[in-house]
Amino acid sequence: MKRIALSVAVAASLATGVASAVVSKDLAYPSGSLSANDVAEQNYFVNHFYSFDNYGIGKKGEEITALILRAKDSNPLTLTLERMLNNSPTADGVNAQDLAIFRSGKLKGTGMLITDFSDQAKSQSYEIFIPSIRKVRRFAEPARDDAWGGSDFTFGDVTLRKPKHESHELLGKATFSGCLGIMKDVKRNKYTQNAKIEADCSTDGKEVYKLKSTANNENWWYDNRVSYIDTKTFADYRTEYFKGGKQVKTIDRSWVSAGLDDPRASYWGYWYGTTLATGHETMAFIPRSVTKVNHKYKAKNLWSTRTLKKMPRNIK
Amino acid sequence: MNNFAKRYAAFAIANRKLILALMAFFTLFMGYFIQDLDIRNDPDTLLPETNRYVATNAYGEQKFGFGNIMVVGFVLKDCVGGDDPYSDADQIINFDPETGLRINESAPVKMTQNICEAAGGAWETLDDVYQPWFVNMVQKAHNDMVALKHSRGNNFMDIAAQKIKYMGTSEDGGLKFERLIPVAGINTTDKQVAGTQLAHLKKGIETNPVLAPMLMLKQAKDGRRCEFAQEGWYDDETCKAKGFFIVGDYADTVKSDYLPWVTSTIALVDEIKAEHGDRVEVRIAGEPYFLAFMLYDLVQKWWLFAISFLIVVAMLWYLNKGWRGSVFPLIGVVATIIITLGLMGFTAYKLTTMMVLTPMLLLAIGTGHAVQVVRRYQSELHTNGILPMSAAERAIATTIVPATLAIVTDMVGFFTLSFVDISFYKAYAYFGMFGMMTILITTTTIAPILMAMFPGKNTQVDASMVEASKFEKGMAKTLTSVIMGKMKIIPIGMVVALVAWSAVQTKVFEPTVDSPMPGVEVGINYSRAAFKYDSDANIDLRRLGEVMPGVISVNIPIKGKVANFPMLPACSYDGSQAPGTPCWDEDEDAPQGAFNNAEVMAAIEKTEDWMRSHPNIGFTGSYIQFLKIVNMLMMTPEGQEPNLKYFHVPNEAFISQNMDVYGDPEDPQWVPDANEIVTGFNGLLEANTNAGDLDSFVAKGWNEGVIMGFVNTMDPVKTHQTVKDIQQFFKDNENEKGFNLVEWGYKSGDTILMPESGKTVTIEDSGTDTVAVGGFLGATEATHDVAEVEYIKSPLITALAIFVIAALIFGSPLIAAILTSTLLVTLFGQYGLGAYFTSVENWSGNLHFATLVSLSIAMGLGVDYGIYMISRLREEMQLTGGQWAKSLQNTLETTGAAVFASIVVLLASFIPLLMTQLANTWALGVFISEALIIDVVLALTIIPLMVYIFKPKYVFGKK
Repeated sequence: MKRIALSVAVAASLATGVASAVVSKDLAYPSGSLSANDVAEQNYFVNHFYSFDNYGIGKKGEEITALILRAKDSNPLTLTLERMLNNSPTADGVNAQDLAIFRSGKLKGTGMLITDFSDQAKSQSYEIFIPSIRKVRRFAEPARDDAWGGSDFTFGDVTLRKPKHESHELLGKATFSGCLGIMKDVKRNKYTQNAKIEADCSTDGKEVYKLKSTANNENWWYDNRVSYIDTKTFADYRTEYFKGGKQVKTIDRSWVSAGLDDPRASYWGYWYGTTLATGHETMAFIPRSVTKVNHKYKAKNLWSTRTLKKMPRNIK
Repeated sequence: MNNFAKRYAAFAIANRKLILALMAFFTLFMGYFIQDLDIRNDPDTLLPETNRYVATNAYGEQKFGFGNIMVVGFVLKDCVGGDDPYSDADQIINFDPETGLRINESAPVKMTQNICEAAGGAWETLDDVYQPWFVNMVQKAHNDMVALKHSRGNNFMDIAAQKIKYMGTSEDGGLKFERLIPVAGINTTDKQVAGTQLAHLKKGIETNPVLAPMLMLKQAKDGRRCEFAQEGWYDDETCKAKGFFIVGDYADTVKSDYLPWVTSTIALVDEIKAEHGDRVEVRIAGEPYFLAFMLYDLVQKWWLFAISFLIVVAMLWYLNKGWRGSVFPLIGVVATIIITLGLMGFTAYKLTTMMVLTPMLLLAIGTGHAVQVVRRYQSELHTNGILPMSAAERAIATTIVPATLAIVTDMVGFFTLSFVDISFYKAYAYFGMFGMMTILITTTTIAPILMAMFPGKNTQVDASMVEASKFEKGMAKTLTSVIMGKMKIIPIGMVVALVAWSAVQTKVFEPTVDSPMPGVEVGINYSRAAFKYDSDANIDLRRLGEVMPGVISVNIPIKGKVANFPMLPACSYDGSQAPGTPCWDEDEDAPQGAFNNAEVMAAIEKTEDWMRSHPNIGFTGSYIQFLKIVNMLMMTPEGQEPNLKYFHVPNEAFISQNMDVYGDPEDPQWVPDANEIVTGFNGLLEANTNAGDLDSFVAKGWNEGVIMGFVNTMDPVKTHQTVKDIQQFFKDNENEKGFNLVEWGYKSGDTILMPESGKTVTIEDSGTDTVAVGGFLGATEATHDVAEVEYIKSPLITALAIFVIAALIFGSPLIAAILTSTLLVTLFGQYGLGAYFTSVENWSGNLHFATLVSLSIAMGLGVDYGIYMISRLREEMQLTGGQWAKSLQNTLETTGAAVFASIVVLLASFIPLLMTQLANTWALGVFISEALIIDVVLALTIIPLMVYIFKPKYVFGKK
């Protein structure tokens, strides 16, 4: 009996375990057989664009990143934004800086600077510039289960969830079948009128890891999620969330290779998420033409409060 | 016996097997549809949709939700242990110390140290809610309530809800929004960690100006509720945290699933009570629970229906002298009930629990008719010595005409209800008429046939079977001497006394502009109208009313006026839009909609401030509360804790008064634009809340929103006054800045497109241009609107209809006048009873819109006794050659006794109506019983007296 229990424990430890607290930007491309934690960390690496010194999504003509939120049977709400992520900050103790400016709608001119610290125990800092009162306000890091921008994505989905927050189990390899999901019949606005919002079918036939990640928090909004992660690029194409045995949400991510040596160097083409209970959908569509990686920006100290205050004033 | 009656009887006897087979088949067929009964108690569907209050309420609920709010309160007990001390307290508050009445709600007695110690409990007032077990209990309840079917988890408001946040500053001075309690609950193993978590919760909830008043109870030492930020609010010695509340929201689908849902809810609450009931008061209320519990209570009390039925069986057995006389008539009555219930299911009509009256009335009335026909059968069989089947034929032939006449008048009582545009009035009308009609076949025809088909032994002549009992003979003799002698003053005096008492109660001689009978309150106290005072549901509701700011919802939809907010259509970029077409580009153009206008926001703020200062309104909420919080967080200087000074709408006036924070030090001349600030904050809220979080308060187009409020009284007089005060407030402010830019509520003549149903409703002209409100307060006021018209009109129409029909049936306007005059006496007696209940504030018994139906129904049923009496008097006068005294005594001995038996059967049938926790069925039972008892007394005394005095030809002949 004792031996049986021991074997079960050893076998389980091969498949599941606790991920390391920090994922290094220098995380090497893996080789050989991978554990569940290895896959989770590699995927984290990809989603945080650690292959790039910086990653930006700007504006080119009418083309710009659009976040489209749509409740079931309703007209969509569209937000357009620019974003610049710096993975090689010069300031001490800073891991990354992320600058975002909203370009339209009620938030037009609102800027946000997010600072991620090297000390993983330290929360991220959020600075928001509100043009109507000409003030910058600092906010503490939001909760991981809070909605990101009113969307179907949580802050955890987008940036805050770390491998240590979950217990991972590799369910094996599989072949991804079919295209990714996409928001259909999008009512176009000025910025999305010419956007090619089409389902990404390049995923069909790709070999993927099936990674089951169980939330470590009790009573979390999902019990576990299953991600389909490319075995070569470690980009996650699809994540299915389960609560009480029922699937509650799906997030699909379309990836575009940056063409660098590191197979993990890819960036987002679009995100599409849907909450199954409500039918609410979110689509973050990033035109390929507006994406820049490892760009040399002219402005000195671009990722600063000063930029945050100054830049939106140029937006009319 | 006329030819038609003879032919009908002969036909029925000749085709008896076919009739029986058809009845059996039809009963089984209709019985199949009983499973489809849709009993949902939905007050939204009861009233006419064109009523301005109903339309406002429907629009508010369909557009913004929160139509099915359930509240569960957890209050730490001051009295722990003992022999159920809270039960004692609940019983104690039933009695007013001065009048001794148990029904006065104005000064409920709370749990006191004396009550506690008298019950052997320990008086412990030192603890507050900030204990791990208490907080974790609330969190578990939240999770369980969200897990219930039909829940809208996103709309839940309580300390465990994701969207309810701690708002403060972080260590580095940044603004912080965090859950009030960790997702995993308060730590139960490490006291230090738990202490930190509880301190976080305490600060987060007690400093939140929007949520603290709604979601927690702080209580002063005298047991009174502390209001947010009042003196001593932050001092635990003065105001101690004693309770938390969960405000849950459920989808409309719950209405078609009430019984399973409420069973799960009760199980959930019982589980909490079993584990924590010794230390925590767990109280539950809210529309879906309240309405579903009515159905639950009826189902739980199934045994009352069984007892009632057995009493009827026993009564029939006694009256009809054997089991045959009991079982055979009841086969027909039960068939009628099954067929009528089946029709209700088949038509999928949305019913209320009040419809339980219909089967019980069918039982009572059907049995009453059965008594008449079975006694007649036995009389024919045992007196004349004829064969059973011949006796059955003669019984049918002799009773079918008066039975038809009586049933027609029963149907008239129901029929006149169909003119009132209230769904359950119509349900009573349609199904009542149908049920009554079937009695003609199932009971008055089938009962004697069955008796004759299974007659038993020695059926030829048995005088004992027809001989009147001693009681019947005694009653007939006594009443005859009363009517014919000086003692007639007794029934006359009783009538005079009844009328005088009713006149005093109704104050009919002190009419006002608003009411011809000011003593009769026609407004409704919904909770008391639904449940009895000492019902579980009402005890919980009253207690929640004490510890929460209010429990009766009111909503006021707000919509930008087209002239001010034209709301251009969104620009289309797919080539379909003609060049030059005016349109709105959400990316380029300034935001449109009233809720992007600072002055409109300030007007809503002023309205909410006024409402909160109203003595009958406890709490309000609207989108501006979100806006005010954002303003407070954004404008409080960095590093400081959020300052309530800035918990305000940033309109032009407020900005100019606070330029120290709104100004730009680098640009002293710059003054921010109020509308831009509001728009910017709206954008922040839109992008930083979960999908649907704001939808309950502001519509997606930003041109419509709603003020939600909670009224702290259910007293119909006070709720009516509250509505009037709200209407006057909007009248006084209609030209003020901001107020004049939007429409508040809906008014006469407005046309509304209902968001969910897609119906277009044009509001009927109510003769006023005042603003209508929605919510339960609106529904309450709508019933007032309807009731103040119908409480006189509806029964008078019934009386008129009965007069006409009686005149046609008897060919005698005089007979019709005699019958109708007695009905008017009965009606006035019912008004008197309603006024009495009003005077003692028994809001289960006043004549509100739900009990008004009893006036018409009782009128239709009550006239039956007079019809049977007059028919029999005529028959006896013919048989005795015009000997009045003999005819009267014979009539009283036969028909009079049957009438008396009918009323006993009716009262037995009403046992379930009177004995459950439901007040509406109780009130219907009381009013109908009162009326029928008066009608029986009048039928046995006053009607013969009037017949004797006025000597109508129908009875006395042409001589």
